[in-house]
Amino acid sequence: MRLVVREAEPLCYPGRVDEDPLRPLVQAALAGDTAKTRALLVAVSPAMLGVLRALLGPADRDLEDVLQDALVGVVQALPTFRGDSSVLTFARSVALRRALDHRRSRARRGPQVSIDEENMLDEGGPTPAASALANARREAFRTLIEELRPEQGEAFAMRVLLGHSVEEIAVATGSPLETVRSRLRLAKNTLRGRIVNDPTLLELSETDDEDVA
Amino acid sequence: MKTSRDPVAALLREALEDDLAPRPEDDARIARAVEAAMNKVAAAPEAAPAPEAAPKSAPAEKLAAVARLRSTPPRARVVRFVVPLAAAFAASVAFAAIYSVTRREPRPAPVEPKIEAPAPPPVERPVGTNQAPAAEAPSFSVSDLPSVPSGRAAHAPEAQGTAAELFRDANAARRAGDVGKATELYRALQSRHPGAAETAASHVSLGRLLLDRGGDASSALAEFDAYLQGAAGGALDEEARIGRAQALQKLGRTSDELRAWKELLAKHPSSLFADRARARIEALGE
Repeated sequence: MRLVVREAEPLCYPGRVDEDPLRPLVQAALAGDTAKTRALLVAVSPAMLGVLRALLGPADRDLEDVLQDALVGVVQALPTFRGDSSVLTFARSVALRRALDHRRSRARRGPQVSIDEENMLDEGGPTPAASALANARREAFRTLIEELRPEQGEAFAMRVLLGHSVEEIAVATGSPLETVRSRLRLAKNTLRGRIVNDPTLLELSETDDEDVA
Repeated sequence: MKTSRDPVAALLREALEDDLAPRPEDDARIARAVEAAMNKVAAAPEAAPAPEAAPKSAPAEKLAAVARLRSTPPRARVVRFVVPLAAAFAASVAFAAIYSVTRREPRPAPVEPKIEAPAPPPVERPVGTNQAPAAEAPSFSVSDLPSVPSGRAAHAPEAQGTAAELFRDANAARRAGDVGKATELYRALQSRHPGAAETAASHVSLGRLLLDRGGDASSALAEFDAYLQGAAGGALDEEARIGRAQALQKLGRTSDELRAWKELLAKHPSSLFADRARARIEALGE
């Protein structure tokens, strides 16, 4: 089986921020336009829900509630949005932080037991083996995020889910570059210790990428 | 800034692509979450209450308050303009003080600036009531809540705030997995504020809670019915009909269930549950 590793999607496009189609909605929302605020939330929700699903799992019973909180967080954070990134990236970052907060608070409460019928649905995949491998990697990622220290988990999740560079993580978290590099290195070290039966991921995790090394 | 190549992140991202991608069931989730988020934003305490600014709707006022916050000068501007001005002002005060102390001529005693509190506006109140004037407790009408179909009369501001609080607390209890407390709070909301917009939504929330986690299909059915009786065609109509059909299925009321799935298909032909509805209709022999 050959695994194709694709380049991370350039999710942050600072050069095109001015062309961001969601910027007018942000301006209108800040001016108090309720209808435009709603339109903004509807526009950013699919991307935010994707981030939440990736971090909490598709069967998480709190997915909708966390999305709701994250949307409120977007509206509350709009005055601090400086336009350094796209509106979608900004909204994804809010969702990511809310999901991490939720994971931590839930970890303190104990494991969840879900009984929703939809949770039983098979996630599917190209082949059973590929699906199992993808499932294992997803699980490894979510477990890792839970085990890492909050700042390490945030940096690593931004790297994986938002495709952020070290510099972008540093800006988003207000941390020095070296600190971010160190957090990412530590996250990968922890990941390496958790990998079982996945030689490809193990091999890659032992290779330092260019801007973390 | 750049997005660099990170093989581990790329591999994990690839594995997570299914989760990141939109799913058919997202639409209904997003609709509910956006609705609830808009209500929460509208119910949030005002950053700078301005009861005299009448024309804007209450949610618009909240957003305008957020906008006012944005106009606050950032730190850089504070350092550049405000600090030098403050320093100049302090220096002029200091010079004035030195001048007044060193000058020998008798000077008339300085007149203290008279600071008068503005007289409160006349408030007409019935004798014997302790109710505070509306300006002291700014609130908004639920009829102002965005896209909450109501058509009901406006309620007293105090009642609205309490309904919003109960709804918020009930949702928080539901999120925390406390089915008993959430049920109790939803019930309290429904009995204390039967006309509030939150109450209509609470029937669907409580119905789902009772059906999914409470194991009480009968009570869940009553909740979905209550929503459909009071707000049929509302924003949660589809969810209420789905919940109703599922509750009837659990109760084994096959003819009612069959009718409920058919109603769902008739009202919401493109429902995410349309396939399931057809499957059930077929399974039930039609």
